[in-house]
Amino acid sequence: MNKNIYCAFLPRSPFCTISKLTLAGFSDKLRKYSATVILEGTTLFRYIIKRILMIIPIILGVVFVIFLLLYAIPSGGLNMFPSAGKGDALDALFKLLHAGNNFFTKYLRYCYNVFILHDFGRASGNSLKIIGELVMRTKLTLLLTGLGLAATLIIGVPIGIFSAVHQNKWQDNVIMFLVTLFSSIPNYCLAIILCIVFVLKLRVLPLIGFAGPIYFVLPTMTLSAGGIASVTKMTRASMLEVLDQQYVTALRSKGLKERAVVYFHALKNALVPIVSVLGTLTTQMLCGAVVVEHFFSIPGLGSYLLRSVNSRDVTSLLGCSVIIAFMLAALSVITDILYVFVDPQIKQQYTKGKTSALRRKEARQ
Amino acid sequence: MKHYFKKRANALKNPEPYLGGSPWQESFKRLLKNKSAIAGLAIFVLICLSCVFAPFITRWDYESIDIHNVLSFTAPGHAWGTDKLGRDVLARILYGGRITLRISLTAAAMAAVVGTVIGLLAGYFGGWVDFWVSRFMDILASIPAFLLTIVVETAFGWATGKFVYALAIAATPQFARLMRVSVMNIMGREYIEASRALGVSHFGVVWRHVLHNAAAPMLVHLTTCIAETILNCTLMGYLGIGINPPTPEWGVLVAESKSFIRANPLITFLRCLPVTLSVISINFFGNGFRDALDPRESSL
Repeated sequence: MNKNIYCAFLPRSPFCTISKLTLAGFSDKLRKYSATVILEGTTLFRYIIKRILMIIPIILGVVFVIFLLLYAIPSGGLNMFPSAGKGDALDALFKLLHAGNNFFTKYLRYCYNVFILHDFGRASGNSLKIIGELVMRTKLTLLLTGLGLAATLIIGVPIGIFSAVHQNKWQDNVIMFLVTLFSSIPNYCLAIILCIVFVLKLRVLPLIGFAGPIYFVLPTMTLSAGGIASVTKMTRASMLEVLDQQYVTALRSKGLKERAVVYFHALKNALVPIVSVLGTLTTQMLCGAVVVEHFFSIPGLGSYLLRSVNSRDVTSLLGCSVIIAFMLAALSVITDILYVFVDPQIKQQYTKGKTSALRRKEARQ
Repeated sequence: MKHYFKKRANALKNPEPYLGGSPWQESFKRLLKNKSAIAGLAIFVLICLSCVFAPFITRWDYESIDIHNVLSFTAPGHAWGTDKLGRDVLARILYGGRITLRISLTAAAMAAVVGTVIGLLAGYFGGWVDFWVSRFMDILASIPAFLLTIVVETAFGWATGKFVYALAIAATPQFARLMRVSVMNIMGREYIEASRALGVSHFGVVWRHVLHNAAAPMLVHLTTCIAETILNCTLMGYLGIGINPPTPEWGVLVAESKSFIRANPLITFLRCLPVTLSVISINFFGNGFRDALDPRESSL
């Protein structure tokens, strides 16, 4: 069989570039192409490409686990997924391999439909294609999560620095108490309390609607409270660690202003661990978005997920899970790449000077 | 600047004092000195005890209806008022606490045991066992706990017993990963090599050396896990995909009270209280516990 037959499955679409790169191993032509792309770049570029390609097995694994669990539903929820298409390439392959109508062919068919044809199937209720609704709702959820993340970083980092500078004074104690409080309050309780205070008592903010940016204030507050608490804790801890180091003492003894020491030299190094919690933070935000969308009636991905669970709509549930898994995997890659740029130690490993130095060192040994 | 040097001088003057006894006794003594941790533990134990001894605290049943006092805060005999069907709020919260706490504590304990065993096997034996187990755990851990709980629930069905499994499965990978890392840390030490060389069996090494040395971070993670599981369990109840509404569960109670938030916001607020209070108290205890077990980290 011609090896290039695998490439015939892939339509010519810009979205398929990553899929093509995965299958590169099967095709000599693509293998040569990817090899030139990957090897000619710097090591840093190579690392980034490698890290992006790492998304694929993770997502396939996540989809496999969720597909397996949903396949076990007694009512046979996934029986509605066909294992055969309408005479396309994958169908030809199944016929060639004499593959029956079993779990693995269904899984492969689903992955093929989702990642290559971008077809998430039809909802069980109204039998419409769910892709349009998924895209619309994902945009809203991304907006909400982005707002929450921005609020978290803008508020959390300065509070953390303030708390670290005033270590063991009353300001620090108050902040740390509030941090523990806000990191423990469940999202929905916070939403209710904020609703009582701002909507029912003070009457300053609207609860539900989409008429302007003011409608996003309460959801963002609810969403970012937990994140602000954890970012503050993290900033405080890493800031204290950095302020204890000898180079800070050296800077101070040089006569540098305290403000320059804290906000420039110390903060630059204290940011490294904060970048590493960004991934966990956004996971938290995406989960919190479910609650926030439910409470404030925002038509996002989370409320779609809840609706699909309540109506036992397996196709929509699977579609939501795939999108959430994709967002999280993409996010972990972005975090890793940011980490390389923020942490000079890691960056040095991937720049040319260091690698040649390492090579020389190895040669000496 | 001034306070920096003061802090430095203090740290040099009094390093972490040795309190006597074995390391475990020493950390126990350090824990007793931490007021917020003890207060957190006391509050959580108090909440648990009041749920256990609910019949002695309130004479109402969680299902009985007092039709003359509906949605009132001043009804005679009802300490915390009644809801829109005339059921006693305090009784519902206390009996609901039994269900919530039983489910979350069971799930956390199951996750701790299974995760510890998986992490132990992966970390101790290494090789292909480690490779495949840790890949599988990585995949499970990359699914958010909330989503995993929903999917497992959808797969297994909606029953209280199965809900516990769903929560436990969602919490397991964190334990397994943590255990694997600490076991691999311990495996590199000389005393493991020495005891293997002396002819101690695999089981002996695991039981006597590995498990005892890896216990501290696992116990700290257990407190975090209990808090997270309580949050997850009540969240499911709140969203209507966990315990079903007629059963009093803390999340279900909050969701019920949302409909009379205009009529009586105080009842809604009171119903948020037990979840928040128990999670806060566990977190305070967990912070103190971590500081007690690892004083170097807490001196930051």
